[in-house]
Amino acid sequence: MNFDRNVEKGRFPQRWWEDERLKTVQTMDKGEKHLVPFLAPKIYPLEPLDKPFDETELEQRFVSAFARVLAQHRQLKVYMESCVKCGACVNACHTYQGTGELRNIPVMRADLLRRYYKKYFTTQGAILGPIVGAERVTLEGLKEMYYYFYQCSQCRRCSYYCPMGIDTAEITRYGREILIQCGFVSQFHWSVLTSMWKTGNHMVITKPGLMDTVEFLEEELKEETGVDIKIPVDDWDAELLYNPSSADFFAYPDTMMGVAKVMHAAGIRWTISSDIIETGNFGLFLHENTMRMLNKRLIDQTFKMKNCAEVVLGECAHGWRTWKMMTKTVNGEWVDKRFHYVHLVHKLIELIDNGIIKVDPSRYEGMRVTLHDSCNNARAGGLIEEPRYVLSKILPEGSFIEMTPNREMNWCCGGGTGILWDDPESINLRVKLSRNKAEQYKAVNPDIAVVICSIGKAHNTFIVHDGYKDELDHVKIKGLVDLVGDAIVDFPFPKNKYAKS
Amino acid sequence: MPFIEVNGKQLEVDEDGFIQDPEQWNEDVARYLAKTEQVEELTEEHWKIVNYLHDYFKKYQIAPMVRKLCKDNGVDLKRIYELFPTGPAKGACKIAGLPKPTGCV
Repeated sequence: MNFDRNVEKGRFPQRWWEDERLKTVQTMDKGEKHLVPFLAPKIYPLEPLDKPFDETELEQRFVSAFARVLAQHRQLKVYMESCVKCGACVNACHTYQGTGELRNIPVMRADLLRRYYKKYFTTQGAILGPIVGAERVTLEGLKEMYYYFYQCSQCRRCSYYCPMGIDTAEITRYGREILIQCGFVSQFHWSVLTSMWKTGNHMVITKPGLMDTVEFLEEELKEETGVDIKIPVDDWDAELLYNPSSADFFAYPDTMMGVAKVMHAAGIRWTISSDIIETGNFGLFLHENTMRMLNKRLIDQTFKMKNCAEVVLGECAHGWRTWKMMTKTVNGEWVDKRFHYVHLVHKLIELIDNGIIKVDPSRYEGMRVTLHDSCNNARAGGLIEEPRYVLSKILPEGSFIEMTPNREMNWCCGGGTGILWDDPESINLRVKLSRNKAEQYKAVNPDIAVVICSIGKAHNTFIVHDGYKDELDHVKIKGLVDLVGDAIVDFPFPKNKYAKS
Repeated sequence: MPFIEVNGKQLEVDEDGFIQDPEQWNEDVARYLAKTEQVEELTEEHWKIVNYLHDYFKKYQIAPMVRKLCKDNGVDLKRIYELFPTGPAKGACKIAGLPKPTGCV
């Protein structure tokens, strides 16, 4: 983006941080406008960026951003200091194994930030400089950092191999936050962040669009089941608030319809809130203030509801991780005491175990079903045995097949943190990043792959129907509640959805 | 941001070629964009879908759900890919002057 031309045209005033249009992306810090309008070019190829600031200002901005992040997050300091360069992480990272670029090895990727840490925050680095691997920050260095930090899918598989427990996802997360201060952010992620501030979801879905989609889904449900199943919106007397993934209203209607069927069969009075139809939280990947904002937006909904007993979080992996691991730290300890929140999988277990909904496993006779343990659900969120338990109840004996490796050692599909760019060069990159995952699918050759994650559904769909479609086109990607909803005995089985293609 | 030129008028597009100002869309713009998405000529069937998308976006400020797009126009997803090789989101929505869909899709 050409800064000067935009200034000429009056698109951004000289004092761009005062522009009215940025008001939608205010942060909670007083006086500082964090989200910058400079949209760095797409990651592939990395075109030269018109200099947003001169070099000295760049260094000052970088160092002050880094200092602030270090002061607020002690673990970053630990990770910067603890690496012993053992190389165990070389075998852990699907990004390195897919692309073959040395800087994609977790230790080398972390070193892109560590060299600046040494220079500016350690005595020997400040004095001895390049001899100990400490370097001054330059525009070229930041471009390199941006290029590799956005290829990390923050899957944290490397942290299971690291003897020091270094979490590369935290390093890239804070690295991206620092890069934003210096004017580098991926346009895709920036547009998602702006959407979150404006509409409370990732897809810029406004209420009229939502109501039209809900009406359409209710018609589909009636056609499929013959029953009037409703999807209540903004019913403030309901006892259960469901927070879906916004992608369910665009590309994965079966998940939304599955939830509606389950709630109807269980006789629960539930609702979704039009103010926030997003369990996911892109702020987790690169911008903590946005993460905090979206959490607060969901918490605010519970204040509107008198009888709300619990909040059920939908099929979104990083959303679950945000809620389970981050909310208390980022939004405050009181959140846990305010309301009871569970993942949809927990709710399904409760309903099936207590006989509130009845399922018929024979409907899936003859289908080979596997489970993809999404990084943020399983490795980072602890939802490992729960989906397997649900699948054991709704599938007949012998239908379920495990991929290898699985559970917390599962390979990342490659789409983590939103690596969903679809220009031709990025598509080549995504094919490389998904290589290990595709090998796993080929080894198992399933009919259905259950993915409890929206980015996962998007990227795994890309793997089986686009990147590796020659061998994998017959695989169907489905959510867990899709299968549960279709197994409920009260409703007929939609055979056409499972027909072999 | 890059620009395209249609009938002597300059239109701003984003890096993927989606036009930034829906008000500037017209049939000539659609024809121009169609060529960038591997659609050489817009037939009756193409126009039905393109106009549907444009009207829906005008009304609801968002692209319709893919399944609804197929149902309301009496086509299945396979036919959409035959008409618009780059797909409903990238191909058809771009030609209809919609912004690029964000999020987990």
